Amino acid sequence: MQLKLSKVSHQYANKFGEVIIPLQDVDLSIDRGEVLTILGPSGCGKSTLLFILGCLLKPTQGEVVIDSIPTYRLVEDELAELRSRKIGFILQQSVLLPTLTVRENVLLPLWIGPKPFNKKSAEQKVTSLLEESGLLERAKFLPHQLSGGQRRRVAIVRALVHDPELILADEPTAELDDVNRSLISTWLLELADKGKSVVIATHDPFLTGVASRVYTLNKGLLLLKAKPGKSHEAL
Amino acid sequence: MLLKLVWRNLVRRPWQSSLTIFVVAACSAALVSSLLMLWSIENGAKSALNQWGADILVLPAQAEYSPEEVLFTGSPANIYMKAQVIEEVSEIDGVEKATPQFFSQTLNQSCCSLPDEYRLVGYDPASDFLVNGLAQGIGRELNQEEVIIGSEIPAFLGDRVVILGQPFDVAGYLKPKGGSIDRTIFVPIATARQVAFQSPYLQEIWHGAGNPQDLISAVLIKTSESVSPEIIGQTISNIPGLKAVTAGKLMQDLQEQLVAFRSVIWVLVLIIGAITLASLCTRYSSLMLEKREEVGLLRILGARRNQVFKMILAESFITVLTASFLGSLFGLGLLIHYKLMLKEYSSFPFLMPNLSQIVIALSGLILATLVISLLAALWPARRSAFIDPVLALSEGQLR
Repeated sequence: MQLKLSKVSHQYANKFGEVIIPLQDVDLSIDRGEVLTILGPSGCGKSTLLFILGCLLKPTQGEVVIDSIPTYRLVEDELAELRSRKIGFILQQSVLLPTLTVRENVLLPLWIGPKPFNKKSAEQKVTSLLEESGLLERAKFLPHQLSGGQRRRVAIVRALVHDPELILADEPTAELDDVNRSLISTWLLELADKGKSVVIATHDPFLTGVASRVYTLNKGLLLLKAKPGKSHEAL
Repeated sequence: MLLKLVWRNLVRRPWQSSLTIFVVAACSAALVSSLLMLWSIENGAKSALNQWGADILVLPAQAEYSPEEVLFTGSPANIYMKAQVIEEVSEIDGVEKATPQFFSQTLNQSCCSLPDEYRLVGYDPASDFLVNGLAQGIGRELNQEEVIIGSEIPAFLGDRVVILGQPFDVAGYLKPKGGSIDRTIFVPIATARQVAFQSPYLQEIWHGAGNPQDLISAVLIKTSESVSPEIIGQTISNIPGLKAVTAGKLMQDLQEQLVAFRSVIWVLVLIIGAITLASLCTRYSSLMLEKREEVGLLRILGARRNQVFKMILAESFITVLTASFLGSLFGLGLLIHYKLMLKEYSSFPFLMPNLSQIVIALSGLILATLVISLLAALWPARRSAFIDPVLALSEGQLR
């Protein structure tokens, strides 16, 4: 998937009436096989940027183009279909549906997405993902029976099950131990090797270390951060 | 499909689902039982009057039972007048047919082979224009040792029942009519008189009234088409010691009672409908608030608005369908209970609709409940479908 942001700004009024500008004139392009990480303090707008990239928020200014199609031309249902086909979300909080088991939560994007899907191969894929993430024994558990780290892993596996072309990850390794952080880093790298695009908002050095580009977001401005030892470059 | 999600939501939130099912089932039961009770009473009244077949009922003026009670209840009604009355009323212009009846006594386990209380009525097979016409299974005049039984007498054609020590063959039976006739055993008038005369319970009455061979309890009259039964009824009532009531008057009285009863039931139905709607509105609105984060997640994962909308309506549909089905069954149970209660304590006729009518009525009521639930779920479902997923998620995280 090719994704391009041109002069994207976003602003909103908070409950006190103050105008907040989390993004200002952001230009960014992401190609197939790239891993981008975005750094920044809490509340600086990293999640807002991910939501805009994921077609969940419409920027107040500027243009988002996905595979040569400006997203403003797409209606709500087309955007939803785009999300269900091509985008995998790893949200900051591991939100799982409380009435579904681990396996069902992972299958959820396939239930929602385009039909028909091959049930047998989907089940096999889920089994393999759960096995890799060490969750197979928990496959029939409900979310309230899992630890925070396990929930996190379920949320990550869920984002990958429908083989999305773009993965948007908000602090994906939060709440994970070293083994699982390493596992997630490896997965994301493998996805990039397969031509998927990955955008990660994180503080985790495991992840910044594997990124092809590292950005910082500060006061609405997206800055390309050079590899350690190099200076910042405003985009 | 998201139906899987709907099903799991219902099954794995048993407390919430059960609560909604309980509310709707209780309302459905109340609707089913009250509407079917109204229908059964109207049915019973119409059937009793239509099948009665007489235009005028003549009773002794001093009878403490009203003609309506005599007609509709199983009251023993040991009221008598001289048998000559039959000739007297037969001579009135416009009286086409007149037949006597003799109300004997209430029969029960202590005297007879019967498990409950029933009324023994003697009729005159020779002049009768009512019982023989209604009876099934008999195409001839009744013998002295034969009986015709109402639909609720626990015996069958060809069976033998013992009444006051004397065996009788069941020669005919009546279809359900909805009145006291269902719990009546008809015997030839001579037999009824003989049974009554020998009964140790009625001896006091014969001391006062005389030999039962010379007595009758009522005269049923069929009038000519050219004359008004009301005028003839008035003429009869002018005869000392007699009172007459016409079918038209009975129908009118009954309709007046039913109008009030019907109004009460319909007001209750409206109130129950409104309570159901309000409860479901509140229930779905609070559920939607509870599920905002989940709906937000579904939308983020690519669920389209109409998928969310249909999902919520489907959840409501399945819950309410289950609830109204269970409620209908419970309502039917209540109806049977009402029937027994009314039979015991009230003079209202009661004839339950037949199976196909009940099925149609229940289908209609279930459909109405589904429409109510659809109305209640529409707005919350629409609000959920149009939820801002980012906002919903961030609100969920704040909680």
